[in-house]
Amino acid sequence: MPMIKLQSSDGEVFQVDFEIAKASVTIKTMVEDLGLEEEDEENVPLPNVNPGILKKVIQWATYHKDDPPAAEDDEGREKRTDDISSWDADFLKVDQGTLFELILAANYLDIKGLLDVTCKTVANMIKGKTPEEIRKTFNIKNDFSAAEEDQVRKENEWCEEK
Amino acid sequence: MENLKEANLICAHFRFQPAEINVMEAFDRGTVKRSSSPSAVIKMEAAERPFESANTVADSGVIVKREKLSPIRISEYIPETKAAAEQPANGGGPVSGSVKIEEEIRTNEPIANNVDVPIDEILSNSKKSNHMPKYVIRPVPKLDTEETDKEPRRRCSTLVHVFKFLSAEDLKHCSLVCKDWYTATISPALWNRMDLTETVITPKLVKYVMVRQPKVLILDWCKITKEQLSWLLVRLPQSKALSLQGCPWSTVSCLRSCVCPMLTSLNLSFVPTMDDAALQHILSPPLDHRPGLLDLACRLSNLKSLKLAGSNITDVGVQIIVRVLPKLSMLDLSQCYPITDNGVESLTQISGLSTLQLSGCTGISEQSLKMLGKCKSLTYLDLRHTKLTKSSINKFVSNREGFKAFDSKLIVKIDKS
Repeated sequence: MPMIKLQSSDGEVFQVDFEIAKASVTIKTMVEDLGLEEEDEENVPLPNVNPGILKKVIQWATYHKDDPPAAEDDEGREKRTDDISSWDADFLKVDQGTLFELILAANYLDIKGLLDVTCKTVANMIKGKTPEEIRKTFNIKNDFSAAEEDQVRKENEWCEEK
Repeated sequence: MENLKEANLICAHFRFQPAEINVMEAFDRGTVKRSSSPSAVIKMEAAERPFESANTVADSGVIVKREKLSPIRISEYIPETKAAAEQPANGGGPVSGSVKIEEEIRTNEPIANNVDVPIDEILSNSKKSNHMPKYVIRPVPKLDTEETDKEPRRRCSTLVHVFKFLSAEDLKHCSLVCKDWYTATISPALWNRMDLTETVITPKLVKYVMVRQPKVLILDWCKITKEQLSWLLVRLPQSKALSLQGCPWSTVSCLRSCVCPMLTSLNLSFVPTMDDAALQHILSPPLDHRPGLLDLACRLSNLKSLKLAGSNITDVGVQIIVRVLPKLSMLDLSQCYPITDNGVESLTQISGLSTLQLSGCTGISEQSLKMLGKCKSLTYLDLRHTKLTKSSINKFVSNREGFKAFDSKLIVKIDKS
């Protein structure tokens, strides 16, 4: 089976089955464009991904390697967030920092399935919460002045005036 | 290629020449000539700034690297200004300009005393416009040098992905969390489609829509003025679909403009007083034009879908549609009573027409059905509430493979897969 070497930000190299690495559109196009061959000693550099996250990403891609291709991203798609599989839910029981790093990595590596499931997980943490609760959940400082906050609140109301 | 380079260099060389000569002259003579007054030197200096680091061809013909010009010091001017001051201002017209500058320099005490003030400072202190640059200044692009600058933007892009899974209500809560989150909530990626049906459009709401750059904008039955819609259309160049169902005609009429976005879908159903003349107006080339561009074609000629339900369009209007909108694949003429078989016949000329809604068109007969039979691309044909008989519909359906009639007069091609 053809293997590919992925090099994380600190230079650590991971050997991955190409069929699994292909889940990442970024890696797939990189390999195709560079014309890398099986016997090539060339590493694929991924300077934006640290080794811990890359390990997680490979773990996810290995589990999902036989998934059927995702449906076309149409505009009217429903915004379901309750369809996370139990394996994914377990897999994503990580701290917030790791979760955001995973989103960044999935975005950079262009792995739609992982991006969707991580974003859904974060979306579930936001759903039904008040702004104050959201700030508390993600440890965010409110940098609005009172006037600015009022402005945003008013703006939100404009589209409700019927 | 080499010759060209050299010619450029020689050109650059000549551009430097006059200023240098002037300076040299002034030094040699120690007196002031009209042509070599300080103002003239200053102007030259300002004009040649952009060439500061250009290479020049020295007199010997050897290409030398021209070092950055050292700023001319005021001390170099002082003999001149003094000389000019000693001369009585009787030189007449042409002199007066340079004399004025000299006076300015003289009255500017700190500069005259401090001999080390560079030329740039003199120029910035001068009230004259002689330091106006003669070249276009472009703002320097902001560089991401610091990692801290990059971080919020990266976070912002991840937030947009997360926000795609939130409802409008949750989005509102998110917009109030902090500034970064607010920026993420107005990202156009989240506002592909905006539905403002039956809303009173206020100036603030128009801006609200503009910031979010929707591709699909629904303004059905809205109270929106012509000025508001024109303002908005200029600012939504990416817009693809617009629905103005039931909007006043005066508002709709502003679609005839050179700034109207290249829409592919337009809904003008139930627009009052929508008739052949109104349709002709909208589907004509714009009256205004952008600088340097002559718009001879209608901006809406890329329409794939047009809805004109409930309008007073006759067969003449249908002919206009056929002529101007050859790319049409979906046309809704429901409840357009004046349309007759002749209109339907002209519709068959649109080769790509796949969906045709003629429900409630009481002016059409079995003849129409016969002609539509020639239309190979048709997959959806709504003939409900027409005078066509069920038997003729059944005959039409049975003659064609894959077609089926629903609700007795709605003909749909069933995709076998």
